[in-house]
Amino acid sequence: MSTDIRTHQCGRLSLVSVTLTAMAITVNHLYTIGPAAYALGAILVVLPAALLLWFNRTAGRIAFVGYVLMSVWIVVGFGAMKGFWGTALRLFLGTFLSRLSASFPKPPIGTLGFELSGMLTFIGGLFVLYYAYKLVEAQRVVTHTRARLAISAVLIAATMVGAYVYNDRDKWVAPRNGVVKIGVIVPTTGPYAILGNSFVKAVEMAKEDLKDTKYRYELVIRDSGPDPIKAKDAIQKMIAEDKIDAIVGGISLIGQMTKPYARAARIPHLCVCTVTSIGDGAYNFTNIPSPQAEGALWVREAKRRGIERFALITQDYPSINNHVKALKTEAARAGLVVADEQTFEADITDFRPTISRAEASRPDVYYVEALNPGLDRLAQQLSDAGVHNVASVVAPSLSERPDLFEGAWYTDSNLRELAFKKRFEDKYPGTRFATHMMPYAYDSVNMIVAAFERGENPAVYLRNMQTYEGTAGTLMKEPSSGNFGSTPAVWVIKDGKPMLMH
Amino acid sequence: MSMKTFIRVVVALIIAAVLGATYLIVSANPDATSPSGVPSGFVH
Repeated sequence: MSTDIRTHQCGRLSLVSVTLTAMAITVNHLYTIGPAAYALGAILVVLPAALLLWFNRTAGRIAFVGYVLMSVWIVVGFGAMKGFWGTALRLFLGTFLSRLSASFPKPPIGTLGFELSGMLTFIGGLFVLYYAYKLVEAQRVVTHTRARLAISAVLIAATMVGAYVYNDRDKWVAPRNGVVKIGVIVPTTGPYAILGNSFVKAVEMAKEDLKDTKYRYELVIRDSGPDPIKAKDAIQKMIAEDKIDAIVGGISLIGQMTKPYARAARIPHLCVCTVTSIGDGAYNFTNIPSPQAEGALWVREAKRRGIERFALITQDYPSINNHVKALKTEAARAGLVVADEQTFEADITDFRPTISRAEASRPDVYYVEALNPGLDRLAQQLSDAGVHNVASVVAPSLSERPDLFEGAWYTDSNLRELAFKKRFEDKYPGTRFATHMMPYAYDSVNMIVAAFERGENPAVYLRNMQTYEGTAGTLMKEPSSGNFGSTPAVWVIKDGKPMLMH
Repeated sequence: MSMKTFIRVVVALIIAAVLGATYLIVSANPDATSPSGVPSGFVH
């Protein structure tokens, strides 16, 4: 076969492999850069085709070198880096290593389309390499044997595997100048002001309680604000500029924003949040009773009180919806009947039609959960309507008018010792002790401190931890899970104040 | 079956196995992480 015919054949097959790989690259990049991926795809398809056409017509050296360089870009930039390193090694080697030892994080795994297109980018890259080599060989501009090429490819792949294993392992690094910076990110303004300010005081108390530590601990406190989109700036600044070593955060909306940044920075993020998917078990961990635990206890208490039917009046909000979902599951299991169910938006002011409808369903108890100002508005209007048989999960402890909930019972975080709450209130007389989060905020700081004092990478320390004796009782975590669970308790509002029942 | 066909079948089987394994790994992790969670250019 003549050189020209062989060159044309190899060129055609090479272009087919380049085009198919460019399609996989385009799909893969749609997930990360959006519609701009189409422009990338067009460049990767049109430019090699034009260069090959030019070469076929003129046999020019520039066109040939240009085409080979495009192939090299696809093989190295996309096939090797994005496909092999970024997808194949992450998915297969990363998952294997994380099962082998807690020193390796569980890799993040995307949607099926994203991962399959990443794998096809890698496989396509191999075909592009093969046919580009055949094309170059047909032009007789290489003198290497195929065996030498194969050995070189295997050596490069083995080096990449070794580099991935080395890079993937989380190692202990002593803090710079003996100072550990703990970032604290919660909203201290807006509807979360009570929780956020109380949270900040709890972590400050934890820091002040530290005695004789090997390292010095500094808190870098940032107000995320209530808007998760704006919170991104505060999170990014804290990691990139303040160079924090760990994060303690609160509120699920903010925790969801913090999660990818903590992972990218490879620092632990302990979030006092109810949305369990935030806890990836690699760098992100949640630390609060789960909605399931709250729901199970609520139903048990309802049964103990002889309740058979209940009405739900709740704000449409992620963590509240999670509580309601878990509660309904537990209630169905125990044979309790949901007599009526209504959700409302944050800006509603007139609850009278809602209350009338719920009353008509004749429930034994009204389950109420919302954030302020809606919570206290609803409580006031329930009281005006003569409805006092109210129950909840957490909500009354967030009310600015707990007297409106007089007699209401609810589940909330437990406290190992009430002395902790008293000490907090004595130390910060102007700050409300929000039981829902405070013990966990306090414990989260101490967990991070314990890791550094032991000289362990804090993320690895948290991955390995399965129990922790905290201020809210024993915290427990399944191996490889990212959620520390604990048992909540039943509280009641008596004389306008929360009182722990059992 | 010629050697060339045999090699093509083996390569096709390997690709199918790799894609199948990818599907299994993704299915075992229901909480898909958004790959675009962190903007590009973010530096720790």
